Amino acid sequence: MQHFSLFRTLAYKRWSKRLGPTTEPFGGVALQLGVSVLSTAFITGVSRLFEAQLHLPGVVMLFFLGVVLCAYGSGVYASGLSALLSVGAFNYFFVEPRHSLLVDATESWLTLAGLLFLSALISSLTLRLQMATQRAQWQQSQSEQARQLLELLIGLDARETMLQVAADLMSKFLGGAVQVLSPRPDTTHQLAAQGTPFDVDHRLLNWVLAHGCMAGWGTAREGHWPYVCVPVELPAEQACVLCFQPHPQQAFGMAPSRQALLDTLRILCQQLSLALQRERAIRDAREAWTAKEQETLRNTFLTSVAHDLRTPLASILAAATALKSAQHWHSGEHATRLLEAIGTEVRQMAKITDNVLTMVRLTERHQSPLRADWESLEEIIGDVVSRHRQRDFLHVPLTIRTWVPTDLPLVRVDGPLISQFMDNVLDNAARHAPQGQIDIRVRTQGEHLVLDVEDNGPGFPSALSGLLTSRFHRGDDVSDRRGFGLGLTICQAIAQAHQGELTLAARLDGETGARVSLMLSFPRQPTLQTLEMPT
Amino acid sequence: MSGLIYLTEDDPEMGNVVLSSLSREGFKVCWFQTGQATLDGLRQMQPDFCLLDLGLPDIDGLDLLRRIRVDFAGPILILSARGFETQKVKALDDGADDYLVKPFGMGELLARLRVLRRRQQGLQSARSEWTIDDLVIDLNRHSVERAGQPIHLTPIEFTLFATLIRAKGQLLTHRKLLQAVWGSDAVDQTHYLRIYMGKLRAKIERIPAEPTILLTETGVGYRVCGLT
Repeated sequence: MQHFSLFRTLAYKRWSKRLGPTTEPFGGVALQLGVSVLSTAFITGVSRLFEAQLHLPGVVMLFFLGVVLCAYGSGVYASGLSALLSVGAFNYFFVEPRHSLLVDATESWLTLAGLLFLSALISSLTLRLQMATQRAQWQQSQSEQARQLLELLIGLDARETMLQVAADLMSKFLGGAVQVLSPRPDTTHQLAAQGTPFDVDHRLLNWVLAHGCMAGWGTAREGHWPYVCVPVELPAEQACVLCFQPHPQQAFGMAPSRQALLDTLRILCQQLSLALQRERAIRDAREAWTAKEQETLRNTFLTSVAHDLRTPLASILAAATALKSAQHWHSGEHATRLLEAIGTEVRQMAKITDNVLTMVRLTERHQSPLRADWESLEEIIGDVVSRHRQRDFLHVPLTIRTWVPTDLPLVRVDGPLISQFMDNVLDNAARHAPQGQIDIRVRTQGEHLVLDVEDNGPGFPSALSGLLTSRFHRGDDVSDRRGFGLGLTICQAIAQAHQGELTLAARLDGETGARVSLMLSFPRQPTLQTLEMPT
Repeated sequence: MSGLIYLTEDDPEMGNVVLSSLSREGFKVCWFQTGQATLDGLRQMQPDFCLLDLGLPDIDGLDLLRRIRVDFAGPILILSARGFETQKVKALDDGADDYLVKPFGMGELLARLRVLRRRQQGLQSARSEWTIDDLVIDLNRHSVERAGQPIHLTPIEFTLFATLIRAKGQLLTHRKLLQAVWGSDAVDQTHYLRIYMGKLRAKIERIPAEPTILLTETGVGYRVCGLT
């Protein structure tokens, strides 16, 4: 999805470059008038030069041509003035008496009236044609923009980015400043903006949200404001309004009329609203799915914990009842063994409780599960190994060997969690290794540190690696041995919380045995410059 | 062992077991089930040790710890079911001398009490020469030797080592060590400690990855072990 979003964003940037700055379709009034004066003067000059060849009807046709060109090329003012000037010039230079605006013959009157009428008619028709062409072009452009907007928004999944993309597009296309605002009871929060900032009246925003329709510039409601507000999203917690202020010098931008511009704005806002609704629906569906998964996970978790607790509880109860019911005939040695078993099982239960607490912490949704700090893997390994050596795990003497490079870089991890990861892996290795031999090795692999824990037990079943993603998996030996379900799940969760990778595999040296590897990336090392002298 | 112990524990089963076990070892134990009763007891008589549970019905455990520390200078050992490292660090920074997470064995509790007693007795003597296995450390002369061969430590490494030795086996939090060696401004720069403890371990320990002298309690702090 991220690649897709990036592609859309780049496409949007390319598009916005292609659009370029907005242009002014109609020249100023002065320019229009100047064009019409010059064109009439030019046609008069040409007619005078070729009067003998053209005769009067040809001259009239030339003046018609001038009016048409002015109407088509310059606009309403140019065509109107051109029609008047053409009639005046024709009268002055070509109708008897010449060089005078007087008209002698009735026939000449009729010619002048016809010229004026036809000039006005042609001017009007040409202008209508021009307007129709502009409207059609605008509508085509509007459809194209709506399609572009939808296409850009489809690839995005962050609400803020979607709003900013829409603001950029509308600002460029409509020619003005855009702000997307979210009104709150006491303040107004700006979600996106493009163009010159402008102040928006808080009451107008609230009115727009309350009534769900546009208000401001060019609308029936509060039309005197220099900007128009359009509702985009209405749910109370995400309500937002898009405000558009046209450029003061560009009137309606490229739009043929104010109404056309407002219609386009409304259509684009509807597209934006639909895209936001779609994004919200996808998010809600994802959250619902996550909640369902959490629920399933919680149930599986509780079942797994109950199973893991039941086993030591059974041992404790058996040992305690044996001690109580037959105390008088038990030898001191036998009683000591039973008491030791109780102690071992209690420690096992304490470990399960630690794992449960860690699991709760790691799955806490509203806070970061990591308390990351600069840590030395050498220290953590030393701490865990010394604790494991202090006890005779399940009455099997442990042989733990370590290979840790002396120049190991620091890692940014949650030390106690990595320590717990190693505890779980060592417990598992000790449980499955008949000779109790465990090798701990730290090595670098590219830009990663890899922590390997290998034992000389029977190794993992080949199918187990693929089951890592399914939580609380326990081996097929549930009935006769303690499962590694909870412990493995904690290890996997710890690895994931560190953006690390957990691997279950065979030993690297090819011997029989299991290997659990944790791959961590090591970041840029902290500086040493302030460490030289104590204060 | 003997001495007066104030035990603050609201759970009757736990209180009974600790009371009877310590009494059998020769201690005189006063058992309080609330924080307020402990504070009242402290006003009447000063014990040799305080054993404090953090989950009490009337006063927050850490708050009680700070209030006890105002009037009581002796060793305080926390007995708590709260096992997260952040809680241990808070208690140790607020004046506790050691922290034992429930469940624990009585042997472990007695061992911790012995360490605290030795430390308490050592505080009264201003020794400068210490030995750890075959290491000889002279705090006045700033020297460390192993089997007669001098080990060169930089000023920071020696200050760090000396701070741990002066604590006589007590667990020192990262914060306390950073403050003692680099000053108050550096209390959050834990990487200083990681780097210098690594250097120190490489010089002091026989196998740095399997330390026997400079012990780490991950997420909490460091202690020195084997001081004689």
